[in-house]
Amino acid sequence: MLIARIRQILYFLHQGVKNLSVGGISAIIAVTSITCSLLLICLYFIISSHLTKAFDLEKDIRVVLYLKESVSKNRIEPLQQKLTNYEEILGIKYVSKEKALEKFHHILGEDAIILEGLNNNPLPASFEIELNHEAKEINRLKSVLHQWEVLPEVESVQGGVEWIEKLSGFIIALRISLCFLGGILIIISLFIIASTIHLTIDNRRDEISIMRLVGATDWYIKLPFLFEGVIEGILGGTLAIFLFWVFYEVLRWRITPCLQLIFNFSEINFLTMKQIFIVLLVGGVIGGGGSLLSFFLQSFQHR
Amino acid sequence: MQPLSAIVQMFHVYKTFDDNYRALIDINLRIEKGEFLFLVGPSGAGKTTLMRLLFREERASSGQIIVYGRNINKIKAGRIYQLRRKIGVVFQDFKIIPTKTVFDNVAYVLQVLGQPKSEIERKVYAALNRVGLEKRMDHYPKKLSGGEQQRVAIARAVVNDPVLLLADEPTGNLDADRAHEIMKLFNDINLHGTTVLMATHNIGLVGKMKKRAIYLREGKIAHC
Repeated sequence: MLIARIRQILYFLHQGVKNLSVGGISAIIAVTSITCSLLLICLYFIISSHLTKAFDLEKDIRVVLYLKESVSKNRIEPLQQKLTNYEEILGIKYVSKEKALEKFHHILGEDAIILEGLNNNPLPASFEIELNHEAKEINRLKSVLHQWEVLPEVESVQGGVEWIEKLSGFIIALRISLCFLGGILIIISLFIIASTIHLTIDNRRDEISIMRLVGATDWYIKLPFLFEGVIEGILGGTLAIFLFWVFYEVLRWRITPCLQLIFNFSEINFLTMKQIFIVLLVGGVIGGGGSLLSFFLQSFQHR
Repeated sequence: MQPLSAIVQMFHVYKTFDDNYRALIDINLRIEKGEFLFLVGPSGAGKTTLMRLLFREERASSGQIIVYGRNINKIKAGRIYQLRRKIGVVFQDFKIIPTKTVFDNVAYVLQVLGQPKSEIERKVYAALNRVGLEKRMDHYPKKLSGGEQQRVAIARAVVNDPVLLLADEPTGNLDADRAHEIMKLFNDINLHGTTVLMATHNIGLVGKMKKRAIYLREGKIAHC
């Protein structure tokens, strides 16, 4: 029984490959359209997995509270105590005016000579605050920063809310654009595969009528066409991964130097095994879906 | 369970097509098990339509058709294959697949049924032997004569031992000698127990075979 089943599956596979090999131009167009759709999915994966790294979102957000000149040293500790009570705070560090100048001196290095002409220290004392992950939620971050801004000891707050807002918007827009474009391409691929399968069925109409005549079940006739679609999808997926790898290898060496300058990482990683599997799976699903769509459209025609 | 004596029974069967053309009118027919029956009549008399009703290529507009104990009008579309596995059909234009060898054309029926390879080989060889084509099993149809192609179609129709063999003008495209050979073949199949219903407009052929014949004219049975 099991052997008979395996034999039948091999038969369907063989027929599917055979259908594909005689499919000619229409099969090539179908595979190409799937390849284009899946290239977008590859691009989506790469961009998504590098966005967080690129914009340092994995690290915790840092906020600097600059204190007013008038704040005396004995008010520092109660203020630090007050701030520590906020549950959004992961760590807090007081930077005195002297320490700030020292740091600035260090940053300027050889150019620190320009500071020698200063009569007094112009840098304010501050609290460097590290926020936890919960505080990354933009509304919560806004609310906390607003509470600190109105404290009598605080001159200003530097928290990067605008930056996070813009970045979040950019990421969402990018993802939506890729999904939209990918979705359209997937729909186009589905219809191209459906018409390819439709043509194959049409070319083999006589053979199919003989199959029906000798008692073949509906699925015995349809399965090779379903397999044809799935094979086209997986072929399209394989081609997409290969082309994407070529693209990746060519670009990697050219853009690596720029990455270090612009972002906080120096290398783009290729798709993970899980992502490769998903691309092939999506390809197979698009192919199989196209075949099913073809069956559906044909049954609709014959009504 | 009593053995079936009638393979086909038709009760007041009518067939009207969409354009209101009445192809069959009040057909009542009984074909006994093991019988060889001719369906005779001029072109357009309704012979092919009657055949097509029997393997559910067409559905009767009214009336009942019982084939091998089953009311075939009530068979759901998805179950028609069960009926067809019990029936062999031979056409005037052979309907064999040109891209498959003689062996594969016949083996196809058994592959559809999911039979094991060894069984398929044994049965196909026996069927081809029966029609005298065992030495040409690796040939493609285009290398065969019309008579040989029809014999491939007959081998395909009988390879699964059907209870009923339907032949629609099987000698229509053949010369007299080839037609005679084919008729001998059908007679031989019938002698082995298969019920045969053959449609033809060749009354001479029917006369030679000395079998029961039903005459159809304008969709009605004229006489038996």
